[in-house]
Amino acid sequence: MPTIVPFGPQHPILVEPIRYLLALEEETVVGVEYEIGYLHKGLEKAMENDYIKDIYFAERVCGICSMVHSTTFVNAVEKLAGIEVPERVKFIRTILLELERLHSHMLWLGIVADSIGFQNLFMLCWRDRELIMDILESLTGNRIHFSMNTVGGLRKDISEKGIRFMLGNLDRFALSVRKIENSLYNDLTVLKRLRGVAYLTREDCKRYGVVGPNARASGYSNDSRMDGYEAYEMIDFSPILKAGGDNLDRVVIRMDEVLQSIGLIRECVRLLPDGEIGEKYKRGVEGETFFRCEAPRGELFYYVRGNGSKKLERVKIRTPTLANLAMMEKVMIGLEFANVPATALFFDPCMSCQDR
Amino acid sequence: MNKALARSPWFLHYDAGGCNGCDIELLACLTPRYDVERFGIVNKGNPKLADILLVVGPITRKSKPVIENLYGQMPEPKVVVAVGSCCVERGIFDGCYGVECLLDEIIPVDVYIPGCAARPGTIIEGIKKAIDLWRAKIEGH
Ligand code: SF4
Repeated sequence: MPTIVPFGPQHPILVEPIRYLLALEEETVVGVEYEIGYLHKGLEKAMENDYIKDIYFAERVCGICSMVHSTTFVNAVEKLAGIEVPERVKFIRTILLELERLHSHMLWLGIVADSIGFQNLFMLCWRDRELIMDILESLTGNRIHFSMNTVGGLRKDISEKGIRFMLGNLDRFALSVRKIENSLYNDLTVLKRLRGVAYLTREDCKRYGVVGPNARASGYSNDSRMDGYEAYEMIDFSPILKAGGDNLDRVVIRMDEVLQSIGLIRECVRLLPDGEIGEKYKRGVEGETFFRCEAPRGELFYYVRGNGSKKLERVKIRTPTLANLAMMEKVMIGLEFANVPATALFFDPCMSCQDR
Repeated sequence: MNKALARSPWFLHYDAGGCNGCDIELLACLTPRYDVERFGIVNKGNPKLADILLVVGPITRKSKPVIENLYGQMPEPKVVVAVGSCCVERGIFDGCYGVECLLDEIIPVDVYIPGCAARPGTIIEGIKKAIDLWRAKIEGH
């Protein structure tokens, strides 16, 4: 008879509420169920509204990846309205998207380091993350919700001074990331704690529809950036793949992606064209469409339907966390109980996106 | 006894329905740049040992019993802080069907921290106020 142990919704490790029910035989997990929806506010219903106002809602679906939410949403509306935004807008959006990936990955690394008891690394990661937050604040004026996007372009341009500041900070950031990598990969305790834990094969990823860095750590490539939205078709980009499929590779791939993103931002700055930042589009939209972008956690999907007025009829959001939660059962069964909290975080759940 | 109590308040943080923005800013406050731990406050995720409850977000239908439960488990004296505009007065989530009530409709709130997202400076100020309030409550206890 297995013991049932609840985990969550409030737990020292969890930043956001989710509830697991774990069935334990001695120390091994033999069954798992989870319950979501603690943060459900009904944002999709609220988004049946004027699409300019919806951008604010789209940003507030998630506080970590607000830029990618608003970009996906405005891209879907632009696709419906048949608007082609100027090239400068595309590049600036790409820069901001990659900056967001940087701070999200650093945040994630800090939190998982904390979950395996490496508090020092948590502090270091978050200290260096502030360099990125400074960049975002100097470019956009805000730390969390940037309010940069609008349908048809951007609400404000970025300045030369801001770009210079960004490049300087990125250099410092790249140095610290190398240092963190060094201490992480040479730490025997960390390696022992992570290697071979929560193993997932490429086939499993395919079967359960895993997305984002979690899938790429198992060698399954499904990076939406390859679709070439915004400026990704104009810069040299190909996704990083790892074959390990365990918790260690999930760390390695995100660290590699951080370094790759720094390169992408530098390339965007090099290619950044002069020009307009778009015009506000204010007419009604008709028809239905979808758009997908690569959020820091994986593929983000927006479906939008309009009826000819400015009010949208339906907005549907599918977030990467939902796709990733499906295989929680697969990875958890057979784990030791001590590894459960860390593994729950290793898949980078973002419950506020997920429940919205 | 009171003297021993009045050293380091521990806080508990719960996300009751926010967008994560304020949670992340709250965590950022713990880290070297802002470092609220210098006021002697420590983040412990255990309600039975916590003195200060920091709540983010409007109270959704499913979080309401959780908040009541957590508040009930905390020992006296306790201080409650509402972080973020959407916790203070629903903010952008006003009118959403999943939002059940405001925090101060179910438990007494001592400090309000506005802002969407609340900036680290404001959060630090709020936490400092909460600590002072908690000390004052202990004196009078
Ligand atoms: S106040 Fe704004 S940033 Fe903070 S949790 Fe609420 S919606 Fe998110």
